[in-house]
Amino acid sequence: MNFDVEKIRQDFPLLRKFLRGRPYIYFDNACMTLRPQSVLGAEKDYYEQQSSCAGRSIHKLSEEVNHRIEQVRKLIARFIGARSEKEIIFTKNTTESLNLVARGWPFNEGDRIFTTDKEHNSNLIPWLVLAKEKKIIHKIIPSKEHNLFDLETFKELIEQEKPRLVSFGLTSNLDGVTIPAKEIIKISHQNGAYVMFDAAQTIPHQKIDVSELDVDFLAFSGHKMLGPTATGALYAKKDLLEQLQPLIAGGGAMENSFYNKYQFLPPPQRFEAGLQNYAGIYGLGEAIIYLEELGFDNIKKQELELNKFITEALSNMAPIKLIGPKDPSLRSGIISFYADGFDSREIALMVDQLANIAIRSGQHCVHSWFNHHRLSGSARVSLYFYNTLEEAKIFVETLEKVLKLKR
Amino acid sequence: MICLAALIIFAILGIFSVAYRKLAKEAFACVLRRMSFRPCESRFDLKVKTQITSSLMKRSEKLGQFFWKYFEVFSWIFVVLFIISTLYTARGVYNLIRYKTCDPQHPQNCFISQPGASPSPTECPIQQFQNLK
Repeated sequence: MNFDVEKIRQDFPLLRKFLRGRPYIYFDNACMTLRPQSVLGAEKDYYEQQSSCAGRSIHKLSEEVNHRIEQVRKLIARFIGARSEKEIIFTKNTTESLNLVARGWPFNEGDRIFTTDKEHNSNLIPWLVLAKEKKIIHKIIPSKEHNLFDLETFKELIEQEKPRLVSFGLTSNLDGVTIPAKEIIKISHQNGAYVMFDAAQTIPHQKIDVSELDVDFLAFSGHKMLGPTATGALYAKKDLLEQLQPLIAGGGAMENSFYNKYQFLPPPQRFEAGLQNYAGIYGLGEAIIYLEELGFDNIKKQELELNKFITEALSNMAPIKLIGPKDPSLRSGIISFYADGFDSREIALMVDQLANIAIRSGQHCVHSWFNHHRLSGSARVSLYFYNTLEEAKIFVETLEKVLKLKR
Repeated sequence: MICLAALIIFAILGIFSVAYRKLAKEAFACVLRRMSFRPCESRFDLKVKTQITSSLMKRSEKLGQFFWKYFEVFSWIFVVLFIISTLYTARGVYNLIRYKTCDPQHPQNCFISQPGASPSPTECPIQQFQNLK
């Protein structure tokens, strides 16, 4: 696909919408991205053309759905470089994927788990809960200056503590910083630890190859990569899947059952109890095709250009404080900031009212980081390939007007 | 304290339209929190503030800035005026029911005086008191 951003924008219905004579400017992609027509069409296609269960009935419609679902599973495996589609479990989002490992892995009392100091609640709370319930020991790896990953401290601590599992956000939803994955995996494996990455903010923006990385578990969401809501996946190495217990049990996951015993299907189906979000999975497949055609180089280039523009402009605004490194190339498409004298929600509401700009405000489900730094919250701009320089300019101009309110 | 005025307005409007009941509930929750010196959870006050400011800013940025800076003052003035006008209205309604005119002293000034309305010295407590003096 040629990268013509104006042409690409035509694929996204919301970008053609106007409110009070002004278009929408969607800068909340870290929460959820928009969906192109092909994804919406695939979901509709399921309900209009097939609308049946997979893996249960034997009629033609059911077989078609089954076939399509397994095609998407193979697509995901190829997309992230997995060796086999049997290493891909459909989940409804990253949160479920992370909880599947937290709850399903045979942790013992005293097992150590590492996370960073800026994890999304979905990769913090399961471990805090497990610390309470199963008495695992949860340790936080502090970041160094500008919120960058402290590899030296990590190396020291892992050699001392010998954790069972290292579970890190690969790209932070707070500041867009991506941690050095290869080095972390190498050090972790050398010290006998498994590695799980929360890749929700990474997969939509850069190429990931789980086989090359040799990561043990990888979780991501469909709704952050042009896919429908309630779609996601967990990748896990085949031998590790055998040790994992399903989060829920029921129809669609069983080989057989009796009144007093049961037998699960082999992975990955044993982890997919209940009817799945078939329409969503169809859409997820189309989202992957769209991204592959677009190319990650194009995505990164567009994000970096916009990030550079906005970062430079914000750096010249006196009350604004950026979170994370100043270098936009280290922050994916994310710019998190707060302003002296302003509640971040005031900023978000004002830019929304003045110019239909959607940004996030608050603590972004990383309450722990804000509490530790005694900050009430931040405003977050998160960009994607369909955003334009024109939109970035409007945002900067609008923000300048908002900041003048307190002068 | 804009939440207080909003609560009263939306509560009354909510009698006639379901659309305002949710806003009334939000305003009520906000008032309770503000009474205990805590910020609103829903940030209802913030939404009202930013909505009015942005409308003003589209006409004049300086006006928007002025409003933003003195929002709390404007809120209190609005609430006090609202309460005073509510009291006057209530007094008018009481007089209408009791004396068939909203202004017993000068019934001709009240356009909704009913026929036969006139100030009665024995009925008007203020007039009675003055006569006693």
